Amino acid sequence: MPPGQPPKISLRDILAKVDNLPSIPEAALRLSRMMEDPNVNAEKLANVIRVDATMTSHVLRLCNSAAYGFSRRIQTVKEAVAILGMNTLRSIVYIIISKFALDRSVPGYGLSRGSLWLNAITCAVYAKHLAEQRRLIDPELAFTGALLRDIGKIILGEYVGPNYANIEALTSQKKIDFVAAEEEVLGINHVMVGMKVAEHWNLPESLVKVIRYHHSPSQLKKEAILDKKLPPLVAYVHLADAFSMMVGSGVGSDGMMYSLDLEALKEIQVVPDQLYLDLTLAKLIDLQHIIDSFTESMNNIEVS
Amino acid sequence: MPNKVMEPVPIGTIKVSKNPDVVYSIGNLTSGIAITLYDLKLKVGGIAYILLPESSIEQGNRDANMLKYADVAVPELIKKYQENGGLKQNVLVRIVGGAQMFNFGGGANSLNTGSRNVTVIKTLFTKLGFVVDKAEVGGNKTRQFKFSLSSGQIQVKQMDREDLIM
Repeated sequence: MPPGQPPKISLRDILAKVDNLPSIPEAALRLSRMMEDPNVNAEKLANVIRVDATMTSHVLRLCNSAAYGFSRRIQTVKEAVAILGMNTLRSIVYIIISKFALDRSVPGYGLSRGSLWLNAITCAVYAKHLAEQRRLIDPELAFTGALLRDIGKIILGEYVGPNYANIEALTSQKKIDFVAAEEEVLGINHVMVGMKVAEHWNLPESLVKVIRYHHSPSQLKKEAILDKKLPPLVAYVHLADAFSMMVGSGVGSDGMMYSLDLEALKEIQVVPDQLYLDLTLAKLIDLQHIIDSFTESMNNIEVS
Repeated sequence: MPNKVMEPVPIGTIKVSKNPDVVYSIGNLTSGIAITLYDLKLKVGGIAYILLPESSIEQGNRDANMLKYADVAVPELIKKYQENGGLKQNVLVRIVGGAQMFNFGGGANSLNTGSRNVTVIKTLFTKLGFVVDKAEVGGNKTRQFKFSLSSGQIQVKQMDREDLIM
């Protein structure tokens, strides 16, 4: 190894850290897996939620938040599952998972506690709004896809912090984005680490792919078997990620050191010219009240 | 900072105060711009946090927050600064922010919202007879911003950089 170069990180190092990850309520992970089964029925899901007091309270609080705007108060899990529908219930389960996973400080990326989760919720609200414009996929899919995209940062932050100056310098020297510079300096990057975490939690394949490709969605083509919904899903998350960087909501020290993947945006019929970006950004900013209602619903939840 | 009143400033907000204990803060400033006015003698300070340059794109949405646009926020900030006793002859005008993403895709850089914001703000101030005294703008990093009304001092933090004092 040349002098002055930081050690490359092995997958074994990362896997060891995966075992020390924050604990996610088992019922939430179980629900996330059950919801991948197209034959699962609402009653089975309600039963899993009902026997877990923590999940029951989180689900009811979230579905009664102003973000969903139901005119009357939802009082039971059975009612919640019936009214929300499968895709919105999935979003709620992932909001809970992401809160437990991301609500911590990550000093290596300059993130104080709450920032990473705020950024996740912001990106999710934006991705849903963008997907609602053309309905190429269910907007709730875009919402859940965005929530855990940066989960790798909670592990990689430990390595990024001491090497930040090298990583940042490389972005301008080689004209590469922050995630590519992480890989050059550390031998691994936050999307690769994120994939490992998602696999450890047995998260659905679609979420693993969103995490892996959210900075480079056109690279999805490399995948041999591809679900048709994946390219638009990853493209929406990628675009929402760019808008959340522009707004600055919970953004860390990697800042805006990323680039738009124009090729992938064709997938969702978006030409990101100045007028499109300004108009969309203007609409997204006016969604702040939805982001606030999600954070208010979850802000008294204690995570370890 | 003992006895200081930290006041976070969300996007699309204008705040003005004569209270020297107030410190206006923005946690993560990226493409948006913090525009500040400060009366060096009377210690009146005001801030607007904008994200977009021009309001002409807004298409009749009555619920839209127009203060997110530079061309609406700048005259409004000046008005509120003056209503609070701030004088034009004592004013120090500073702007911070305006970062943008890389443009590796080539072609016209439509991602330059940050630099367009800077241009529009400077032009507006000139038109209204003000001068932007100091600007800490551009790049692609996040800035953490604090503006103290006791001294008018602005502190800008960035990862791995010494704090910038303006």
